[in-house]
Amino acid sequence: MTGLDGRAVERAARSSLRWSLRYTAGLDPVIAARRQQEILSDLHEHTTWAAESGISRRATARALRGRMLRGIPADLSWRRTQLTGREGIRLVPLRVDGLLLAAVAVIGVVQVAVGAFIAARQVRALVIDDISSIPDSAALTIALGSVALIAVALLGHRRTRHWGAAVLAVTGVLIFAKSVQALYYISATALLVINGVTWLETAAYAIGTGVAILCLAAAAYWSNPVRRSSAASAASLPAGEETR
Amino acid sequence: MPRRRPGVLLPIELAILDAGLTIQPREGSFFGFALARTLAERDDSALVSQGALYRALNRMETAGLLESEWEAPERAEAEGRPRRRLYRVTGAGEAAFRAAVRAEQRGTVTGEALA
Repeated sequence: MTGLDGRAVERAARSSLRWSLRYTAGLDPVIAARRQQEILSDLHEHTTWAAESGISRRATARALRGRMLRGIPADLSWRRTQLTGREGIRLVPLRVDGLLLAAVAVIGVVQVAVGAFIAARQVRALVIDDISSIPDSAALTIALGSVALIAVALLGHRRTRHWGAAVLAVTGVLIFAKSVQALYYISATALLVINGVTWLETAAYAIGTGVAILCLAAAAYWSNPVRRSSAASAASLPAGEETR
Repeated sequence: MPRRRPGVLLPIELAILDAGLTIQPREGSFFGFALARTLAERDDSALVSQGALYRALNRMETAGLLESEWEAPERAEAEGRPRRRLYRVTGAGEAAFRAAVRAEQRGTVTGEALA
């Protein structure tokens, strides 16, 4: 077992080395050799440190593969930079941050709007005596919309942004499907549509799941303290202290 | 040359400068995996990928934030390991880091004042 685990570390290290040979192929030999030697050194230091720290060989092999796989986009970007002389995706993390915030904010606003719409339809249905009670699905949708409103407010601050996105993931899973269920009771038009389109609720759950995945990804992205400070770090530095 | 918006430090660059300035006074220089370990311990996170780490180091060296050299082969041979690429934060790197920290503090203070 130990022998097998030991070979797993060796295989993982070899995979990383092979990958480094592949993405440095065709580059300036000096640059390629430097990167390959750095990777070789890194792999040696990693395995030595892991052995000294008592980390199991299986976990070490997993960590080595994980580091290689997670680094592939950066490796390819670096290769492109070496070939073209341009840092093509240099500012992507900053753009990603802004786009992610915009996307999650839109999701939050839509959820609030859905909650408000159902609330308005519920009030109307009660006023015109369409129904005499509040269906559970309508009450839940309104509650989820209210929670989404709080989550949108949390998005406004860097320190709480990840919490806002996480909350919107939870509300997002449910609110669309629950709003469809609520409309079944409080809207005659919706009743006809829902009866005619049998997959509507399934589609609502699918949309909710997609929304939740995006929000969870955003929450994970913003939960990293380094990234949380990215906006601040991107603030302009004094001209005399620019990085170039 | 790489496009760099004036005054912009990426989060990983800030983290590398921070960790490098922590290790450097003690060790004189730092190498890639030592940096990865320091970052992981500081953030209680997984080790940064080699791709992200060495790409950032390469970019920062090109930008003049870091300088590097291979360690003497004799030492590596004596310790039975591959040679390490040893990095140091330059004066420009340290100035950029201090400025970014000040900018962040200003942002935090402003945020707290508005809260």
